[in-house]
Amino acid sequence: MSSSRVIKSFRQLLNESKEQSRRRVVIEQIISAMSLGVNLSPLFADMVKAAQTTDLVQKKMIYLYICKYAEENKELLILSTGTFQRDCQSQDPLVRGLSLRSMSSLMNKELVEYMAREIKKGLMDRSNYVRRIAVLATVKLFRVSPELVLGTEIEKKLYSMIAEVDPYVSINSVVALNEILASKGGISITQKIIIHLLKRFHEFTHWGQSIVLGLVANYAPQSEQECLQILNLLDNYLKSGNTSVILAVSKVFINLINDLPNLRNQIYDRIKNPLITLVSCTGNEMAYPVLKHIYLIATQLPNLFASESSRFFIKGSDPTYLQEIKIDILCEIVNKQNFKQIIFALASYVINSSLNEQISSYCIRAIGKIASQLSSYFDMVIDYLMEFIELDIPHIVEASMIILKDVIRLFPEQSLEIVLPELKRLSEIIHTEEAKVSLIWILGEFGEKIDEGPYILEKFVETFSEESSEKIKLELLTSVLKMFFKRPPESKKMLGVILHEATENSNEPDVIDRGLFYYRLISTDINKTKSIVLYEKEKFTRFTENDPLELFEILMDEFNTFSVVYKKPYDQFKRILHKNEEEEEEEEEDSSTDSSSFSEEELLDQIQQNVNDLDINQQNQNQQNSQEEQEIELVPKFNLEPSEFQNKWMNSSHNLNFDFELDEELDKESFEEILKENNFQVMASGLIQSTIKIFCYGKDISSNQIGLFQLLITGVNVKLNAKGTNPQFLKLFAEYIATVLTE
Amino acid sequence: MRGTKKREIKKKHSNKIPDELGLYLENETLKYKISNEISEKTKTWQVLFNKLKDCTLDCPPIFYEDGVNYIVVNAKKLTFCFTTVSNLSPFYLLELLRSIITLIKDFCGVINEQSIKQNFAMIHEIIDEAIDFGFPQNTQSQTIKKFVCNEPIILQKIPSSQKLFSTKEKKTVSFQATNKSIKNKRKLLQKKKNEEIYIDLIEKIVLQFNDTGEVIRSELNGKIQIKSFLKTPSHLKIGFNKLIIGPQDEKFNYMEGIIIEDCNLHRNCDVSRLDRENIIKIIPPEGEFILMNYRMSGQSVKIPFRIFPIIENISKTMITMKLKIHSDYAEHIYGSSVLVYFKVPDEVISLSYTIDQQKKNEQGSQQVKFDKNQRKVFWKIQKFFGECEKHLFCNLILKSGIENIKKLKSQIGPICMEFEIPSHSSSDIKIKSIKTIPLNNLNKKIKNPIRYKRNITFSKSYFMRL
Repeated sequence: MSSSRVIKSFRQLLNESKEQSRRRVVIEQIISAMSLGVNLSPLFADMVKAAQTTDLVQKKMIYLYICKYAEENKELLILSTGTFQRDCQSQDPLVRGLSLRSMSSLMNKELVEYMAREIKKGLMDRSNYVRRIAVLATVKLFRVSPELVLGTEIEKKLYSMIAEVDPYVSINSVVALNEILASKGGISITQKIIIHLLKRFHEFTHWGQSIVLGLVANYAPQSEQECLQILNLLDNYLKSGNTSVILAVSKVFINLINDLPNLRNQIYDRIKNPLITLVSCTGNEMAYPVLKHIYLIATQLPNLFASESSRFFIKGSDPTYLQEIKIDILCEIVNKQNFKQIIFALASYVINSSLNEQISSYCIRAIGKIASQLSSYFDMVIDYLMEFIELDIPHIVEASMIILKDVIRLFPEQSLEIVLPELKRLSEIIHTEEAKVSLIWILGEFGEKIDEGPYILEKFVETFSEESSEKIKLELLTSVLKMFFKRPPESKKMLGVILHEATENSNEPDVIDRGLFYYRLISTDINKTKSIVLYEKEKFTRFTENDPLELFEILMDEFNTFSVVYKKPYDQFKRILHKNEEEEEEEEEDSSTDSSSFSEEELLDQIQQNVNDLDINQQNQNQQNSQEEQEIELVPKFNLEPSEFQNKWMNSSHNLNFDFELDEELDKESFEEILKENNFQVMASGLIQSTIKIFCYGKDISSNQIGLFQLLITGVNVKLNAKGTNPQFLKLFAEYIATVLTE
Repeated sequence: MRGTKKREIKKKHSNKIPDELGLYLENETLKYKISNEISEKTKTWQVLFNKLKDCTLDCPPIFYEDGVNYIVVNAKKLTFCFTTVSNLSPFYLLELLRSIITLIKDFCGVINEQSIKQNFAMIHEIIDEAIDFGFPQNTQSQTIKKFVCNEPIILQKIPSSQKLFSTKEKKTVSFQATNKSIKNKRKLLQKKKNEEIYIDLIEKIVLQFNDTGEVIRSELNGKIQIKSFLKTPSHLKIGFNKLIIGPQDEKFNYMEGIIIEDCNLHRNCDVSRLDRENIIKIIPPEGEFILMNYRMSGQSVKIPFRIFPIIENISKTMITMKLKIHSDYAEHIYGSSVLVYFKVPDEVISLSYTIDQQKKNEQGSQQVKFDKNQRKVFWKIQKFFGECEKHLFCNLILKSGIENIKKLKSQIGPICMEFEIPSHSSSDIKIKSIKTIPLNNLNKKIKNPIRYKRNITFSKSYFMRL
């Protein structure tokens, strides 16, 4: 239904245009339409016929077309082999190369013999352009039928081609062997190959250099002498204009450290400056992975970057992803010399309102982390935290209280001296949930040390019944109990009140449970209760949230890969394909190719216009009238079982979200009525707080498609989430729902 | 009635998803595909656009979803993306993606949706030559050119938003002059006229003052960017005004020059004569490339503007402050679109100000605005000539009932500046001479190509904490 008219008009144009320049334009339009996502597969036979042209421009575009639609036209492919073979004999190396590259890209089992024959010929071709294409074609051949490549003369030939003078052929041979032998751990790296490649290193492109460096990184030099030679040779390339080369050299250097442990610091010193230059000179996108790698090195050698701390300060123009990693780095490289500078910078980010809220909370956490690393400066940290709390900005107060609690847990004796006298004032200025929980915890744990401790708690108990937060209620229960055992005379009454409130007047099951539990515990054995509540806590020095040190060792092995960026070993983000998943994917692809949401009229217009420019007969104008409206009409009594609905809901391949507004507020009943009137079937509906939630479905008469959707309605705002198998239908469907509801 | 409503919804819908183009490699076999997001319904695009849409913070340029790694680069409002399932070097892919973008730009002249749409066939061809089966081959415009057969369709109109230099001097050529394709049949015929080379020295400055006006951080990142339309292969000799010295250089002690901390260079550079004659030699490849990136810090960075704020009085009803900006560069050049802004406490409700107009003819070139929502005062100066001072006196009027005066003071600032200064380099590096010598010396008749040099200093982050 979608593109048949476009195809028809293209076919007509192809047949009618005889002049080469016109044909060019037509084919160009076909490629354009193809790139826009129009499925032009039905034109395959016409295009194969057109491939017999001698015009290279047309040929290139036609081959591109053939490669794209080969999969769907397997039975027609055999038609094209003649043209391919003829072109492989052409005098022009460009044509030979093009033909070989396109034919091998078809990756078709039936053509495998032709392919192998032409590739063998191509490997011997007199033009190095053709040879380099032939070398990569062996990889494609290997993917289709490995037995034709592995252990055959092709493999041997590839090894010998590494020595070729042409740098492209040489590098491509390395790449091809690496791919073909991937299951055996890639190309066998001998000293001879490494020396050969390093000798002509400067000839290669940046990409070639990166690939060679990848091999060198895995190479174990025979002697210390050789290590040093490699170091000296590659040192120059740390100034390369290509980031990929610089990082690949860094990886080689880092790997060589294992052989030259006494040069460790010197080697890292060499890498340091180029990396810092990259941070500031290459744009945000590149700076991101560079910073991630600097962070990793900093976990190993914190002092390396310590003197450069100002390089990692946040700039106003930094996007948030850079801000976070910069803060991480600052936490790692902090030492006694730069401590003040770093803390000051972090503190200024906290109060800098142009930064995101999440970032300022992140900074506060970073400050806490630094305190745990450099214990002697914790008083300065506490001062800052107190200052933040006084700012009375909710998210800052929240984060600061949590960190304050953590600092107290780390250094109870010293920090309490500063914090305890302030508790009363703090209890008056903080409002947010998490902050209150932290404060109540501190009071329960250490509140007995100040005179007014029990009374501050009592204030909270007084408002217990009005408190809506379950977290605060639970923490308060525990803290009051703790206080009771430490300061019984002042707390006795308070405990009675809170236990009564918790067990009798609460709605939250957890609060009632904990209240009852404490009540029974106390009434059974008061001394035992005391030992349970006030158990001796072990002293600790490191938070478990901090990353394990072993992780960084694994990451050092995976230097210069995605692992470092994600801070995860490859195993944790590697793609695992299940059998059914593969099938599913295929299905999805099917549905995606035959659907296209482009506007047919516009496209036709464009083609028309472009072709008209070249005076091609305007025969198709009459096709242009009559706008076709695609309408949805639903099957009146269509029914799905709840289990079927659920199944479809979970397994739908396409998902569409969109929001719209109603003219006026409606209640749940009227919604259901409107939907039913328009033949939608309501599966389930409910009211959560003030939001109406409706699950609904319907089936279109003309296309037989089923659409499922969920509506979330708050006031006049409607959030629609529709699911189905065909995205184009889904869009129409969603619009239909919106139209129905807004009318 | 029904029809109009439908259209409205459609519009809303398409506003949410950025209407952008992209290009991506797929799976282990690294296929590439150029496609328009609107019509493309494959999972990759869905994931990418959901990510761009859902990210509450800025979307990182590298992320993974379902084991597929996405590398995303933005160029001129377009998003380009690669995907792969292998654990490759992120730098390799980012550089490759950037090279592809540069290639497209070199061939199409400009990069935007329209130019890409019109040149789909050619772009396919370029990528076919640049990447074979996911393995990069040759990404240099010059060498690829001979394999590309399609002719580019050049966009005629260039939107004004792409201008980099906002000044219009007669001597300079607008930045758009470089928006040309390296492959243009018509121009090839008029060979001699077309020999042009553009050399840009672009510096970005990062500066932070403390409350007493001392510089506590100064950094400068510079790059020399060349766009070559030379059709005759030639040597290019670029001479600098002063010696450029690296920190480890021994000469550092007794010679005068510009000390840079680190730099990286284009691979074709010949710097053997840099330390004696201040000359870099290169055989420039066609198209756009970066000759050199450098950075410096500390005292070597010349400070273009100094900020002197004086908070004269804070009372319960009003804060009076005076702001003086002094420009420190040659008299005849000027900074354009200089913007000074600072944050004020939440309690400020309105602002009254006076600007000190030094010369009468400058009137109207300055503007002061108080943005209530952002709580910021903006002061815009159209032309800020060197060696002069600008003053702003302002009274920030507070809402009543304020007690904590101390807290108020801590809420003023930082004072930030944004500016661009054409024809000025804060590092003092200047290009003294540009010479081209044809490789083939026999053919001496070739006219000297037209050479353009430009330099400009931008602010990247320039502020003072109070």
